[in-house]
Amino acid sequence: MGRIIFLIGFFVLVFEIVHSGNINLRMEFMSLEKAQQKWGSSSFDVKKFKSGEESTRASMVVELIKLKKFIGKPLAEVTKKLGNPDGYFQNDAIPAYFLSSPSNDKKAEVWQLVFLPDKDFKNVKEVKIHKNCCY
Amino acid sequence: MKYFLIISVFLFGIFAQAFDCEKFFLKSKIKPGTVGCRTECGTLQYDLSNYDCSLECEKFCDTYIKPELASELAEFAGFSLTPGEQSLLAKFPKDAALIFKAKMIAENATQRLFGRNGRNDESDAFRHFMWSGLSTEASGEEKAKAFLDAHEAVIKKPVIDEMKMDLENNNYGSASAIEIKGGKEFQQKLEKEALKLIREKKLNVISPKGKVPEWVE
Repeated sequence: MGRIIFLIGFFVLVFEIVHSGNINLRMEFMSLEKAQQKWGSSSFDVKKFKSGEESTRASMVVELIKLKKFIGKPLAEVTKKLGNPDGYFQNDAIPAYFLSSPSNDKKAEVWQLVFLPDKDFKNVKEVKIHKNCCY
Repeated sequence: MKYFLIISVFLFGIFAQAFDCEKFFLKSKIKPGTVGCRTECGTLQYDLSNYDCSLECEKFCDTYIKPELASELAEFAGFSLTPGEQSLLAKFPKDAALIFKAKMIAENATQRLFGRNGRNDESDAFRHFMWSGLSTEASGEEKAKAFLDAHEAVIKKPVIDEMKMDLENNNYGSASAIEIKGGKEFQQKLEKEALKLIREKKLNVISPKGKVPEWVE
């Protein structure tokens, strides 16, 4: 009984909070098709990704996601191979890499590649392209 | 009247003790709902001021739901929670929702002022300051600290400096929120204070970009 009350109460509370003010959940992701149209699809090269500009990284993300190279690998291996993350998604332990820079236009879109963890925050469960800004 | 006073003092004593015990357990960082919670709670260092708290372990360790289910719920909604956050959500669902709201407000404010949510730069410092300040205002210092510490608890070497940066900026945010004391335009005052402290280089920024925006609505 306590569990049911908890579940109902929690969802009501979250719903109320999200709809009470101007809060955006910041959860927009880009499909692979759209990424291919926007940035093309060059072959994934670890060294180029690590030392590359944001546009170089962007051109490789479609291939990286399709290859599922990092799925099931430890989060630490991602940062070891791809370098220090510069993006942010939900938690600093989640590796995130910018694929575009902010411009003077504050409404311009900024995208990043995120390596979503499993429940224990140990291994990569999924790799996605997330909209960091602007909502 | 005399009996009313006696009963009031008695009830106040019970509630005050419960509150102190909750604070004491949160500071100890033991996780409600976990297998070892009761054992860990039973072996904490108690003294005369909190000896009675040892009798409250069962109550503190019990949760509304299992932390694993809390994790499933969060995952369903698209959010990744650390194991520590899962435990706290299972025990304090109302505070979890308020602190989650504070996080979203902080991320949206960072986006508005900095143009993106970055890492180890000024926008990172601003976001942590804001999240901690807003959480302190919504749930009190102890609970806010417990949730924010649990959020950082998965970070390991070699990014330990990042954790230090985040925790320091959290402390500044919490202290500023207490000083501002809520009220009208609380968020606005907190945002301005964060930008001021970044300009004065008081907040910890590992990789400064050198750009601190002016406050805009």
